[in-house]
Amino acid sequence: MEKVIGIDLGTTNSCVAIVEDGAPTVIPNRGGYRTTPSMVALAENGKRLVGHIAKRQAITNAENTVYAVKRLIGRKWADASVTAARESVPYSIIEGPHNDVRVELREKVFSAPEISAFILQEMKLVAQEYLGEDVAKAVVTVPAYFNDAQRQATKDAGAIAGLDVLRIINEPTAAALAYGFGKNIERKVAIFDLGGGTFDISILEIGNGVFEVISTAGDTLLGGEDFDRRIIDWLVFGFAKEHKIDLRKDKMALQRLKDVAEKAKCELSAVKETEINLPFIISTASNEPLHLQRTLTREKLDELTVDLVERTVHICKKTLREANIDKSELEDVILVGGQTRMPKVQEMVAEFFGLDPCKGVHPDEVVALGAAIQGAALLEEDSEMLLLDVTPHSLGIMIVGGLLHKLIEQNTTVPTSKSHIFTTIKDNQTSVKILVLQGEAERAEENELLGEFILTGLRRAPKGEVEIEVTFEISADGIVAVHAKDLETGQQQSITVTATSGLTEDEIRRMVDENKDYLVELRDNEEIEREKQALQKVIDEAERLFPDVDAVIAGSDFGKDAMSKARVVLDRAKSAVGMRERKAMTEAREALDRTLNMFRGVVSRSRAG
Amino acid sequence: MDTQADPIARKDSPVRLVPGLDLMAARLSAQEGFVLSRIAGETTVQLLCDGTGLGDAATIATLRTLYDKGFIIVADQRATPVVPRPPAAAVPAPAGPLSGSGSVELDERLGLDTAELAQVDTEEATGIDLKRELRLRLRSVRRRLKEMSFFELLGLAPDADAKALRRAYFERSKEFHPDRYYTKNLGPYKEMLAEIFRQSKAAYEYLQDEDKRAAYRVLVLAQQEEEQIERQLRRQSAEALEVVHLAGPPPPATPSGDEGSAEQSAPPLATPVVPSLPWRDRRDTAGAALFQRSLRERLVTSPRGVTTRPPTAPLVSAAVAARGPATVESVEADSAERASRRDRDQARQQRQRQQRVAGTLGGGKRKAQDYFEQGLKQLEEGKLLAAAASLKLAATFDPDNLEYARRSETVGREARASTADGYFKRALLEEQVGRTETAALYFQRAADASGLGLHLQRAAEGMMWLDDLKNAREYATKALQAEPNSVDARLVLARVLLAGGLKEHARREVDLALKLAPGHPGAKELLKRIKKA
Ligand SMILES: Nc1ncnc2c1ncn2[C@@H]1O[C@H](COP(=O)(O)OP(=O)(O)OP(=O)(O)O)[C@@H](O)[C@H]1O
Ligand SMILES: [Mg+2]
Repeated sequence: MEKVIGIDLGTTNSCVAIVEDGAPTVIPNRGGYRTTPSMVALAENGKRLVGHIAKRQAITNAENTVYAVKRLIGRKWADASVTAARESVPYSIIEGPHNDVRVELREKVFSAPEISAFILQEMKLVAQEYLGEDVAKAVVTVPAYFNDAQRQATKDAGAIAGLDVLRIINEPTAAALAYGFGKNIERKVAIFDLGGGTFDISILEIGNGVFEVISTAGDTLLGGEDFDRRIIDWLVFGFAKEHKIDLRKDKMALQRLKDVAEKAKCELSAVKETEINLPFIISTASNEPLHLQRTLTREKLDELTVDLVERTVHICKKTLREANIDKSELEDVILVGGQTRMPKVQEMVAEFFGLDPCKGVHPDEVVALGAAIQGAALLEEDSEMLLLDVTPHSLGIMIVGGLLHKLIEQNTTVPTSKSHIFTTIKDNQTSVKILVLQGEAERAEENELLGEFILTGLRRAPKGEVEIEVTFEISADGIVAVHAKDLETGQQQSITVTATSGLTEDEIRRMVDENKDYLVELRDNEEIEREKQALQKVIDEAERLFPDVDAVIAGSDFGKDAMSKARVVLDRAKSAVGMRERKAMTEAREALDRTLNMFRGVVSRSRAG
Repeated sequence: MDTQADPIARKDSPVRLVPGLDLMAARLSAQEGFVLSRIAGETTVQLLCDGTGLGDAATIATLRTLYDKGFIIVADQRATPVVPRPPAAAVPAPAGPLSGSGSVELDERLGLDTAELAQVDTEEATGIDLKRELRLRLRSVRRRLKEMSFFELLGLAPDADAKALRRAYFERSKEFHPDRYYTKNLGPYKEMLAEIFRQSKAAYEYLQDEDKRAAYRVLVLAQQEEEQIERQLRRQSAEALEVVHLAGPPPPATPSGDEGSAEQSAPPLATPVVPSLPWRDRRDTAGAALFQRSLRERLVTSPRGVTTRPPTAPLVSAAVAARGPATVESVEADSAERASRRDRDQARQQRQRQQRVAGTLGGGKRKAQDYFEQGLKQLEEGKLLAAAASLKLAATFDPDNLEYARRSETVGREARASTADGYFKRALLEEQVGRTETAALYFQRAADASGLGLHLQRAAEGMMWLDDLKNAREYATKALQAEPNSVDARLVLARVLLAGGLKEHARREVDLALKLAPGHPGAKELLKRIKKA
């Protein structure tokens, strides 16, 4: 069976896993870490840095280090989340050509899917190194509440990274797969996923290897980073009160605040209070250095973030109500996401559900494991596992009055199809425009527009007479097709809806190519670098050896001659090092190596003698 | 003749079509084509004799020709010699599709016609990599999808609880969810899987509601009981036939013209009486979609009678059997005249046969009496359908006994009415659930069994949903005959006529309706529509 990896593309951290011999396993990266920061930076030399290495240099290169790109992917320029991000991140976010969002690093412009692609690519490389073979297929997870545009953008990211994305699945669903994998259980469970950037809640029914998503909801703008921001605000506010200086104006200070806030938050999950210390955070106008020093207690943190935690509980309540599920039906609640390590979160969850959260799963790893499990299940011949996934948002068309008429309700199991008959609203109307929308808002324009088409050639008739049957169809892989049919003439129009991720196909193709080119160049550079080092090593040895050899053989004419020839070879090698020309370096190294081989013998013989 | 050399002579020989047979290219007589169309998967000679309505001798002769021409093969040859089956024991009752929570049995005989079977064999070349068995199963389930109750769809016992329901749905999902075949080249099966999955899901969702499940259960259980009785009836009639066979040379043709015996000897082939159509919202859209086709033509030709895909034998209900000859006719392209002559012949043969049974068999009268007593007892116990069956058998074994005939007749009528009532309720329920095509099927069955005006009207409407205007017109006409003064019946007929483009005819009916009920809003509305059309 072909290898397929599962990737949890997180807001703050990403993780990659694979099912090996029936066992789902997380693949550690080169540094031995099981998760990789979702950070991408552009170094001064134009090199891309991804993961830990990007995180390490973030403070000194804040403007060219992208984090939390997941908050931007598949979004429109005008979205509130984009505006919010523009105010809080040190890198520059600019408007793209299609009302989309791009980031600018060192005067180079990247789309959000590209940045995500760099992360996916890194995860792919981690897997390839571990497996010792190429990996081309992946299942990638997204927050349950992502809309089609965000999902499509994530798929595009996969394509740019050279991955065939078999399926995009929801993070909490993936977590449930990992939780129920290999267990012979029959029960209803809740997955509570509070990560770095998003909150998701899903209810699943598990039985006999089948995982049925009953309901799923969430908030794509609620996560650990909001908790961090509360701490930052608290620090900034206190500092301003004391020194009348707004630390947020200074990008370097802001980055340091961010780091320290997160660190303090995580510490408070284990201890009751912690010291926050930022020496030389900023200088006054008179160039006097200022330090930031404060104590944060767990109690204070809980107080600063209580509304955030309450919001999660509120969403849980609403989800259960809408799905008509009583809390008592749930037999387990599974915590996913780093932010659920916060004691207050655990406490509120336990209180709300009346259950002790399940301890058996690793909150940072379950999602990737689940993705890998789904990948394997799809490719396996007789898999024991089946996921019955749902559409996270309602689908419908715009009708008179600018309203959304839903045809497929949210949380409907796919594949599914639904028809409804509509009619004309004007006398002698000969065409209708079908606007395909996604979302829950009553007003059409408040929903996501997925696509549109026009059905023409209707019979001239008084309004309300011509009947048009509209059918929505969603396949198992989430592809939406819409057909409109004039019931009188049998005339039909259809579209397959692909949400616009913000990128055109040409752009994606170009990005795929660029990325490939970059990789080729990168590989070339690495090889040149390796060759250079190998050459340098030989040169160093030659420099060490030559005086000794000279001492032994310079006495004879033959020796003199050999020595001068050897010096020529050495000089040529030295100049090749500067050329960065791989072939020249290889030849020079080989030539020098041959000479050295001769000399090595001379030296050892003379020592022995 | 040596049975080794002529396997067709053995009634238990399972015959099947030669794989890859191109039926379109095959040169067949009408009768050969018809017999061929009865072979679905592996079918025994016995079943075919029972199912063709041509009589054993003619069926076997035709099969032999088909065998000689190389169109059919004998699937396997069992060593046991032919013996007349001992009554009852050797004809096991087919497992009820509703029995137990096991899966709906994979029975190739169910619902697949030759064209489709041939396709299963030829499509292998197109790179579809699903096992043949699975493809057959998918097609079979898809074929019967509209006919199956929600319980059947899920392979669930009607008394199942919520947990069993979920398990059944999960099991079904594991079988039919397209993701199970992610790496496969599915071809047309992709849509088939999706369709079956969607319907299973719909069934699951509906049955999740305790109250709805309870209501649905009552109806389905009632019908299950009926079906069981029908099966029993068939078994008993097989028994009766065996007696006849033992008594003397087999009659030249099995009776099928007579309504009653057709019911008894109907072959155990469950069939899709309804052509498979995509699921559609119940709307009065009949006719609109298929405008291109000549309207008049559609009023006189039923979409079912297409010769390239003959319908399989009708289901057991008396109702459908009554239309049996018509179906056969369209396949054979017999003239109406010949059909009616054949009907008369068959009726005569039937009478002769019954007399022969009565005359040659000393046991006939005694048997008749046994059945009669059994019938009365069942009647007392309130088992109406079983009683009707027994009484009918009594009347068959002793055709001269007027008492038997009279009782059989009255109880039979009552039983039919009760059956019809069940079908009608089921139809209403299915309509409410949104399974229009299933509802149409049951309206039709109800109408066929009862002949009641209301049932006929709804059947006519159902036929319109199915776009079968010919039958729609037939039912609407019958409805009007049943209740000549019914405004509703007239309006139904008018709508059918309008759907068929016969504006003037439709208008005449509406005018008459308005005469009966001046100012009737429905009539006025329809009149407006006719004017606009
Ligand atoms: N011990 C801890 N206590 C509190 N918060 C923690 C702890 N460890 C990690 N976190 C927080 O969890 C968040 C990261 O969680 P995780 O890695 O699950 O998110 P993600 O998968 O990247 O994001 P998302 O799923 O929202 O896209 C960060 O905000 C981090 O600060
Ligand atoms: Mg996460």
